Amino acid sequence: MPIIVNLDVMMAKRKMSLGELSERMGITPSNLSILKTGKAKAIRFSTLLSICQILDCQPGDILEYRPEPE
Amino acid sequence: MKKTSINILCCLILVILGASILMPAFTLGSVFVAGFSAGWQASDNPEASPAIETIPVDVSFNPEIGTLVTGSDTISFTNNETYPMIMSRAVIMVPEERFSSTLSWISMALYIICFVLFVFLMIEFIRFIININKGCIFDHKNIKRLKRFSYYLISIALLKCAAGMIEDVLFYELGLHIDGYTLASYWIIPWGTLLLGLLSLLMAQIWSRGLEMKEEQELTI
Repeated sequence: MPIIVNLDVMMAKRKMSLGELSERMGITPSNLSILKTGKAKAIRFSTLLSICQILDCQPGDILEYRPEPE
Repeated sequence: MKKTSINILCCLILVILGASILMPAFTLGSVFVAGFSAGWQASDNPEASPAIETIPVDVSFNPEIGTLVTGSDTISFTNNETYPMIMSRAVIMVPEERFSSTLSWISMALYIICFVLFVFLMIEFIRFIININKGCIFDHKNIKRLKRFSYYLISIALLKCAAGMIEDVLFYELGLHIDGYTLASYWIIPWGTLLLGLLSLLMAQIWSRGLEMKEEQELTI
């Protein structure tokens, strides 16, 4: 998957744990873990919005496009 | 309620599958027992002349042009009424020695393989029902089972076709002839089995797409 989720980087920058972020977002830690580890197949705009609001960042800070080497 | 109706449907399918295998299994069993007892008797009394074994052959009579009009054959009923008749299908008993033994064995082997595949197919179906009853519906195992189920069905249909063609060759080698008819060994392409196999394969593909969508839904955060 050439879309990389940099949620862990942003969480480290804001010094926020997975538990705290999931609690503030209102989703389960396991679902957030799926997103963090890059196992998720899609992300809702509402989820992205709440991440951006809580971590005070842009969607581009969370998601990155990295082409796969041919 | 839905689970009960699924179970009832599955049981019905199982009963039909079982019933369809009963007759061939009985024939196969009786032929085996007859052959075994003949062999046993021959070993007990080696000097006795061996009995002439016959093989039933299902023959299809295809009337040639004009046979329907002239209809020289007649059938008499017990109330003395007689009607013109044309033949369409009969079973004739042909001495075993008239057949090519290699081809006969191949044909028999194909039917035995069909039987074994049918048993595997039933096992696969029972496992499928048990899994559904456990609540595992959209499951990779179920898709694999459905695919195997369809491959078995398609294989059975193709093997039956091959066996039928071999029987055709065996029949033509006999060189039998009746005026006014073209004779052929009676076998039909198992369209039903083939269609069921392809439908199962289609269902497995749809099921697989459903599972993909379910996983996608589950992994949407």
